[in-house]
Amino acid sequence: MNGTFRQSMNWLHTWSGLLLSSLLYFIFITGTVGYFDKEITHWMQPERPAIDEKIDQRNILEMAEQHLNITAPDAQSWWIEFPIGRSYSAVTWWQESDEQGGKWKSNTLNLQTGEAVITRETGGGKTLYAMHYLLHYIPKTLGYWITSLCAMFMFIALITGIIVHKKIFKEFFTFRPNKKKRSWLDIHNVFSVLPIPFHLMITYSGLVFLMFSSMPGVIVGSYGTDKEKYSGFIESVFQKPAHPEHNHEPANTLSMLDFMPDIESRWGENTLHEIGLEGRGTAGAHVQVKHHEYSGISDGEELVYHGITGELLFDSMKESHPQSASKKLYTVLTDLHEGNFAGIVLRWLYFISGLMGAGMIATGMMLWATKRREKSQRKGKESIGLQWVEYSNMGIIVGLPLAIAVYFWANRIIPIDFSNRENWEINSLFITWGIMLIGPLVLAKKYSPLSLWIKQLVLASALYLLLPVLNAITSDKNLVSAILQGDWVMAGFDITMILLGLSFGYAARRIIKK
Amino acid sequence: MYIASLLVFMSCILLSLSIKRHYVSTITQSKISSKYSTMLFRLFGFLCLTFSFILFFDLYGLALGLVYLAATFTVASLIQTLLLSYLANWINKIVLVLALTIIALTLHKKLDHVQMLVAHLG
Repeated sequence: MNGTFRQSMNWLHTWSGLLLSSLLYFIFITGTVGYFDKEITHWMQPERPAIDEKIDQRNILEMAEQHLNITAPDAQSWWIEFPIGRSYSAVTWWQESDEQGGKWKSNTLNLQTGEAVITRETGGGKTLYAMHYLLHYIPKTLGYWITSLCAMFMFIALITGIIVHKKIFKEFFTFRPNKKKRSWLDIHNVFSVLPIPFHLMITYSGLVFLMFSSMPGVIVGSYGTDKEKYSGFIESVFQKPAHPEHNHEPANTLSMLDFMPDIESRWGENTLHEIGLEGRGTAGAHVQVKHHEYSGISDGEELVYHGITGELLFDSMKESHPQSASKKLYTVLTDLHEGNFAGIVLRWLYFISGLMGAGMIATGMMLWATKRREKSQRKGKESIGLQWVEYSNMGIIVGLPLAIAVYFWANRIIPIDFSNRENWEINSLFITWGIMLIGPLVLAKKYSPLSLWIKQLVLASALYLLLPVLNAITSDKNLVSAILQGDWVMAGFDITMILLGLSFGYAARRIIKK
Repeated sequence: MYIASLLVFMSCILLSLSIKRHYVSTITQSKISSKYSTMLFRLFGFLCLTFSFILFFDLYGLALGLVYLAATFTVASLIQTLLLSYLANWINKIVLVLALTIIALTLHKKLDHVQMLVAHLG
């Protein structure tokens, strides 16, 4: 790390970016895919009825309450999610009693019959999304720590990258193709510099998001290690709007339907995202209602009613949540990170920026290997370590998207009644990724690196291109019927898969032409 | 939103043309670049960017407006980078089409406002 300041920063940029690059690539890809988690889940549960936003929310609520009365009569918490915005089905949620394990359960409703739709067990988009901060097969806290460490390395790589880049404005729009190392550096700069606001925001907010896990010393220093005190800290930070005090005395709770006239007089008809009844059957019951539209980048309007008297306890339009400046900053950053406020256009822009982030990491890995290859060729020495890096780059960069395609394939191929099918979907992803990582090393003697790149790219292309076909064969939905029915979520997924398949195919063709 | 996004794209094109390398490869095909024209490109580029921010701010407020501006600028600059690398001789035509589209959309909006005003007065 000797030399000038810029040289030192260059060293730091290279190693902070490279050391955890494969994990960062995994985090970026799964996080980016996560921007369409609900859409992916919709595709992965083809049993879900087609979206129908025209049905009156009062009818849905009545249906849902009847369903919950039969399914979860003893539950203390009931929630109903309406099919509006990015919620593509009417879903009922309830929390089992503590004696039953206290788990949250859900059912998707068929709005024609009012009965629960039996959907396949799947991790859907949510599991893919969760992997970007929890990773998988490891304890939750360890996942948070590793992800935080990755975010820290990434942040250092970004800052040092800005310092190192000599001609950041002069070469802002520059990409010179077919110039070997120069082209790799150019494309690395394009993927890094153009979305730099996104990269800085997503990395810093990611660090802030996980600060309670990655910097527990600050909390322990003030609140000690006692669990109750820790909960006190969490409650004081994440204050909820005015709720009735906890009171477990049995009491008759009002029906959620009783609140609809007042809600509609304030917000108009069919504007609810979700409604929940907490502390049901107790004197501390309250009804919480959320509007489907966001206000700027924050959550939308919210109302809280007393569950026994019907009195309005909180209206976010009239009184805002009391927040400290640091809490406001935390909320803004986490809201920006999650992008829940984003409509379809902005969501795609987030997605493209995320892909550029993954591209930045991938091109960084390739650039490092290309530079070392040139050096070793000049010296006339063949380094085994470098070969390993080159082959593992293959397995990481193409292998991961390929493994995600297998995850979607597994969703359709694994029998619906297969025990633990949700876990086996994920297992299939990691098994495939493992094969794609080891495969090039095993086949290294038989095939050239270029031919192995082509094989992986062609395989990825075929898997993505055939997904819509598999969907048509294994479910009663297909691209044409989805377009005709106006189910653009289903159709959009299939079209995106075709585009991804074509992109991998194009990349393979470019390498073949070389 | 369309006008604001097109303005962002226009600003990317103009700002890229204010850089000597891209100006030479796109406009003149010669090695001499006019100092004033690059300055004008820069000025109009930043003007387009400012107008697009005003439009986004008007539509979505400060926080969401900034998010839209940054996101559209990212994608627009990526498109412009690819155009400069592979289809540099298309850029002149794209500028013309973009300018006409922005003018047409703005006039259409203005016409709506006028019609609403007339209806209101009537």
